[in-house]
Amino acid sequence: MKKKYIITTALITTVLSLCVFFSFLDSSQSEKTTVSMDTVVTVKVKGKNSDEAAGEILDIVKTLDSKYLSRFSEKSMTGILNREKTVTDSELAGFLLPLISLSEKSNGRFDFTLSPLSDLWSFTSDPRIPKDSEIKAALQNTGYKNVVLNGDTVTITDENVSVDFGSAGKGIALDKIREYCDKKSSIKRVVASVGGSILCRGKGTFTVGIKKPGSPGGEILAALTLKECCVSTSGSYERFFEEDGRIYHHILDPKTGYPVDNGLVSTTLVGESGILSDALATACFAAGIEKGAALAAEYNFDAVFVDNQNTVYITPNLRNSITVSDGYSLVVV
Amino acid sequence: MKIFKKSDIILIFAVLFVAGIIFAISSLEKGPPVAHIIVGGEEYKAVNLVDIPEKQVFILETHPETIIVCEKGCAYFSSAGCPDKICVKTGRLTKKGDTAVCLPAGVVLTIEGGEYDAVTY
Repeated sequence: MKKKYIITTALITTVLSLCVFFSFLDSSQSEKTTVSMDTVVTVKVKGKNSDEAAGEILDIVKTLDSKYLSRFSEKSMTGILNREKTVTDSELAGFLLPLISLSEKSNGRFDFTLSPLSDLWSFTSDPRIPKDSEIKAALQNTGYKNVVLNGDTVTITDENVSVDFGSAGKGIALDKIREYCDKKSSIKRVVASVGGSILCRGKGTFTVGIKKPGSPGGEILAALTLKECCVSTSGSYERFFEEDGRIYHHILDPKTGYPVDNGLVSTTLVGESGILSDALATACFAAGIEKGAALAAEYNFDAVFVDNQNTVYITPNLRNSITVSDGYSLVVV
Repeated sequence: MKIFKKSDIILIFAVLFVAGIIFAISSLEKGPPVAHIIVGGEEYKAVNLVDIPEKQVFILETHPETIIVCEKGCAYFSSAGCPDKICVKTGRLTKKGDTAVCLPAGVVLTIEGGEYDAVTY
């Protein structure tokens, strides 16, 4: 009887100690938010010195933007490239290499030289429908084929063309955050959101919601349960305006210069690379469900397409990882 | 000689089950919704939206100026000097995880928590 009592007491003590231990581990976490890259950046870190790490991660994003990605800064590598038309820099060339490849693989549905068009539509400040003639003129000044890589040297062969990392920069930031975390063994778990592009890094699973269009973020249309990965979404509901009962959104068709009009509301891409998740989200939105799913598969990515009838189309690997909210139906493509 | 009888094993599983429940509850999202006002990357104010005695108005000296209102159960941008007013149009934040942003002013208003690790958009 006494032996049983001792064993039971020991068991209870062990289990409760484990509870306290795990609770203690959980308490070593930090969350920080800032505005950077013209968007909201939030990072949640678990592990030793989490507060310091979260701060350093936000600094990484800021530095990446000012040093490399911002096309509005004269001092950034992108600013210098757009002005000088040639730059030798291994990092910049490394960013552009997968984007040129994706532009080719997507038959030009993804293009990172559309700034003359997006400036014309001006979705971020004072949006308007440009005249056809203006769009045609702006299209003349686009074209990823005018950006050529030769080793670490990037050259723009048309003086009117410029590079814009707007459709891949958030993903590049995720890759940089992961690089930082890989060097810090004290970091056990990180969830970083750079303008809605997400990095999940660490053991176990992560739940990532896909925002319901029109909601402030607390309401979702589907939830994904994922292992460590990057997740990016392109949605027609993020930057748009309405005129004469018609919606004009910011995802532009590189061939026509007008917003992509294929009935899709959003595409979400899930895979290893941050830059590819971000760029593929735009490419797959423009390509539509069938071609988009094929393109995602080429890169070993999984995809979620949501159309304006509240149907959620998923690639087969996500079958057991997704739950859709009430009012949405699920189709495996 | 058997160390454990059937009743002992049931007791052990019962203890493990109860401990599991305690741990699960302790891991769950706790507490009332708290609105965080973040200005320039630094927390300006955290407001408990349940215990708030009366409406609180925060006039932020940002560029452009922004005004945030917190009251029982919600928080929102009531005005902003930016041209597009996206932050104001976002409306009332009521759920954990809801977020509104004024990018020109560098102000983030978010309700802490939510059942997801992150939300993609």
